[in-house]
Amino acid sequence: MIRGYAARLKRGAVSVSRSRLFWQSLAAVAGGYALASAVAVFAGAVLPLPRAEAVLAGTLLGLAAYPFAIMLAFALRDLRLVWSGLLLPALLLAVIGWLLKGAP
Amino acid sequence: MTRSAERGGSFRPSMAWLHTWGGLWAGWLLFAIFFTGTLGVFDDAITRWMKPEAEALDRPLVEKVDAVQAVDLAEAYLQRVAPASHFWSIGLPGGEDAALRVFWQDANDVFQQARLHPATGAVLPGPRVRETEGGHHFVHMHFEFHAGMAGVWLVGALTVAMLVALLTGIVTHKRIFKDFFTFRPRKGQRSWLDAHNAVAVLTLPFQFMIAYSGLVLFYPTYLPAALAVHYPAPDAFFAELRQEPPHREETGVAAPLTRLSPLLVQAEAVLDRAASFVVVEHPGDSSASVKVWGPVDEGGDESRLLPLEGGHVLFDGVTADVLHVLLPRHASGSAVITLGDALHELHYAEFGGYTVRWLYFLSGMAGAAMMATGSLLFMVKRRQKSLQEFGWHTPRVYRLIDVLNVGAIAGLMLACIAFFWFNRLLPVAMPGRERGEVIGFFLVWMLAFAHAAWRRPPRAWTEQLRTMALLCLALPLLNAVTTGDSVFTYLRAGDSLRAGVELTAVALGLLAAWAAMKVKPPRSPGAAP
Repeated sequence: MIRGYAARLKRGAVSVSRSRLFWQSLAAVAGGYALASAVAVFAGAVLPLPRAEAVLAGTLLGLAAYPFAIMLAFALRDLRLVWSGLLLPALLLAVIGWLLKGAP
Repeated sequence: MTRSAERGGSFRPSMAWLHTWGGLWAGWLLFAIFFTGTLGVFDDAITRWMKPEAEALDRPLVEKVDAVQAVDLAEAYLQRVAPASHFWSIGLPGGEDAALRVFWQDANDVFQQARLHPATGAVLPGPRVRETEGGHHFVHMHFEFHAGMAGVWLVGALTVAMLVALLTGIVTHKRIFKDFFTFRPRKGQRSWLDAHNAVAVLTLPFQFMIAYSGLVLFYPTYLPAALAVHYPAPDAFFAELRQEPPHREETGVAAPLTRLSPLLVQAEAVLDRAASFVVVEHPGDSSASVKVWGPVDEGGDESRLLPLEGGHVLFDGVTADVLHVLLPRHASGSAVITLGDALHELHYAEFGGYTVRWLYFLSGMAGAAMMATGSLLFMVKRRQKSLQEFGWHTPRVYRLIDVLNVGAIAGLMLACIAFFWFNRLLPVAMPGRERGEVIGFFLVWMLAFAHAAWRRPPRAWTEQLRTMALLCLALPLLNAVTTGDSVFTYLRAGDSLRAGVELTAVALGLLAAWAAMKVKPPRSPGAAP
């Protein structure tokens, strides 16, 4: 069963259902962007640099992370796993970054 | 079947799927971004070619420019014409224009400008130079498609898609280095795949660098989250990052502006070079500030990645106190800021002079070729055997993809060379000429899509490639007829920039002619690209 799926994918012949493709693409684009933003906010708060430089470094890091997040969204077959894999770390990083924003 | 086996089994295929379909839908506009950006490497040379009357501008008006006198004259002019303006700028003679230029924001916040004689202050008549975007047209296509912020976002999204395509391409491609040494010509699909792999692998580091540094150029726009969380406003972030005093808001309290020429003298001493611009914000207000800029080191052979900026000195516009100094080619002491600056220099090829520019030109063309071969490969594969991805609609979708392939690749290149023809053919005095050239470019591009929809693929390819070859090869002829200039007159005058533009056009024309010959009429399905 799985082998058949992989083989059909390899030929490019797999017909992915439309709703699945929609949710997976949305997870990749929006969920990935949320994760990239959260990485930037978190790194901006915790990197041991002057604040402005930490924010710049965090933003550079976030931009680099985005393509990998998109790949992750398409690599996993379980959609629930995709959403939780992107949004839970995003939420965690964003909240910690937010809480630390006043700290020196 | 365990989950891990399931994932291990489908990781590579799912990445291949993402590479194929993501690459296909993003590839057409990415080709346009790459091709125009590659031409944009030589934007100065193209602009110079597109302004054949430019010599009339840089012929000196006075034997030796007295910058102090010029700034005094400009200040007097601006005080007379726009005393209540929010913004003045004075361009000192030199570089491309021998006149003294003044710019200001009028009562309706519209920018106005005038050219003054540097010794008398008399207003000079507008230059009789054809209005053209020149090489900037290609640069604007490259980062915003002439569509403002919407275009910037579109290009950003496509750039992320390109990074994903590069990464998934590497994952998909098992024998990346072995295959690199493999080229099987005249083998149909296999040759297209080999070509796609060869150009991609050979220039892979360049492609990653140019895409990522392109994203970084717009980081406050594309990923503003960290700025928004940690700073009340972007201005505050940049002021802290650059250690510059933040922009001062207008107070509405009147205060006389200090004389500008003493500030010019002081700034030139600090920067150790002649100034190029004097910019005044809020003249006549108590928040007034004056910034004196040094000239940008254009086309320098500096091999290190340092900012090209000529430096600046910022003064309080009322008290004349120095508020901030940035020395020319100043390297920041911070590793992070230096990295950010270096990515900027890398993207703009602002180092290493023309050697690096030619390397960028070749690598950029390889990137464009990578996208073109990828898009072609998609259809070459499917013309041999339909994969029925779209059920009943499959033939129609394939036809659409064929049309988009022709229009996005051959059509875009055709529109680019047509832009050079519009530059010579539109009347010099035509009102709105600048826009006319750009509209002409888009018209030709749209016509190319219509043509591709009308003709069958192999014919559409050959006809558009032949037209492109013709326009490229005949460009020197057009130039000779319309301006009397040619590669020979350029070379005799030592004008390698303009000569280079024409020789490059001829070389690309020969390439297009060769490609047109390679596209054979369809003997069997799959013989043509």
